Amino acid sequence: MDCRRFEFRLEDLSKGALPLAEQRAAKEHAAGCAACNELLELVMLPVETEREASVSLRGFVESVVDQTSGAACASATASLPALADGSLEREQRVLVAAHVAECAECDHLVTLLSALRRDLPRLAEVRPDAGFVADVLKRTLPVNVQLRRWWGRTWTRWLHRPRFASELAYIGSLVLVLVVATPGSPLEAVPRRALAAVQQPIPIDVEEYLAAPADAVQALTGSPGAERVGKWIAAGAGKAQQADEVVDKAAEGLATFWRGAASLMGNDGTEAGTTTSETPEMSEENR
Amino acid sequence: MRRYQGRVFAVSLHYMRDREEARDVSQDIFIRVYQRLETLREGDTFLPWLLRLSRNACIDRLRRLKVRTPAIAVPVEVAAVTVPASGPTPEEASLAGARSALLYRALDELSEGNREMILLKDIQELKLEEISKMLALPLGTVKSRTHRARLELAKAVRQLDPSFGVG
Repeated sequence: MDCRRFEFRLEDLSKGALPLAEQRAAKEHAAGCAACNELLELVMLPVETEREASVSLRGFVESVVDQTSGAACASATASLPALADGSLEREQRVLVAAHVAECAECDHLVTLLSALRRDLPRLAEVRPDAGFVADVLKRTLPVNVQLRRWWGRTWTRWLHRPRFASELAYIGSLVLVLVVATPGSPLEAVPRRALAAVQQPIPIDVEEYLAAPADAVQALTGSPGAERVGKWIAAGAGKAQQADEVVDKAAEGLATFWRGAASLMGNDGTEAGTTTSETPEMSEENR
Repeated sequence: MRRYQGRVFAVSLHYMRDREEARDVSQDIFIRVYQRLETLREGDTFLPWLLRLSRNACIDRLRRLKVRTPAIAVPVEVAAVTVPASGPTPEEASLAGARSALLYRALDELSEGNREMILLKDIQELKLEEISKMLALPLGTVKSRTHRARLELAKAVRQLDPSFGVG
């Protein structure tokens, strides 16, 4: 048998399927040829190792469990999280996996760790309440906008209160009393002046009326506010004088109108239903 | 903000352990984000930056409060809003809510440090390098602490419900 024929028959030889004569010829060739002998050894090797492994498997597992139980079990347990997330080195993984396969407690822990890996990321988000985003956006607004919005909201809330009108009147009265009726207030004299003005007989003497603002200004002790009030009163008095002049002019204009109307109607208003027996004074009254 | 509000609120709730406090801190966090967005350097990823800022804000608030709030189990209704219904049926949603409630109770039994590790690694799913940077700890330390925390949590869950994760 030559080398080529030996290689051709090698697989059958390894399986024991060659006829006895050919087996003997192949072995004789292998004994004389170093390369073919090496091939034969390699082909036969896996079959022998597999058999050995299958025979001693139980002993191997027991040996691993023996080495990792008790105090060593704690060491295997420490590797379980890495085993569950697949970050163990190959050799260690084989060892720990073998322990887990035989240790119920560690097996349960690995199951739990795997479940935790699946469930924990679900806790990553917790939804806050619906108003959360609006509240944050509100807080990031500029201060003046915040204040304006706050004032708008507050004012609307006040307006919607049923007692708002009476409360406003109460506060207004209180402020008025504090401003004009408090002893020492710059506007203390105003009510007295106002009362005096109301009690004066009508028609008001314009000269005296005009003199009053000057007195009032003098009475108000020179504060800027008081001066301004004095100016307002003086301006008011000026307007009153103008109004007085307008009224006088209007009265004069009306009298002229009636005189013109009377001259158109006839002498001394005789066509306006007056009798001849009326005296000139009476005609004047009718006119 | 709408995208990250859930995460920020979850982190705040984890540290503050009180819904109202967590809501206040979350608002502060978003205002800080608004003010400090410029400090986010180019190349930084937003989520770790946001979570780092959230953590610091919570710790600041806790320091101001001086005393940490007592450990109160996160109410079940919180858990119910936490987990989006994984399935279409109410039964599945309810089951998911119950599981979350159990996890909150188990987390409550962990130490502060272990809980923080679980929060950052397993809940918020940050990388070990990011956690190491955030906590200023060596990478190896972070890795071993994470494993220890996970193991503690698994044991706590087993004590509360031995059938958890089985089947």
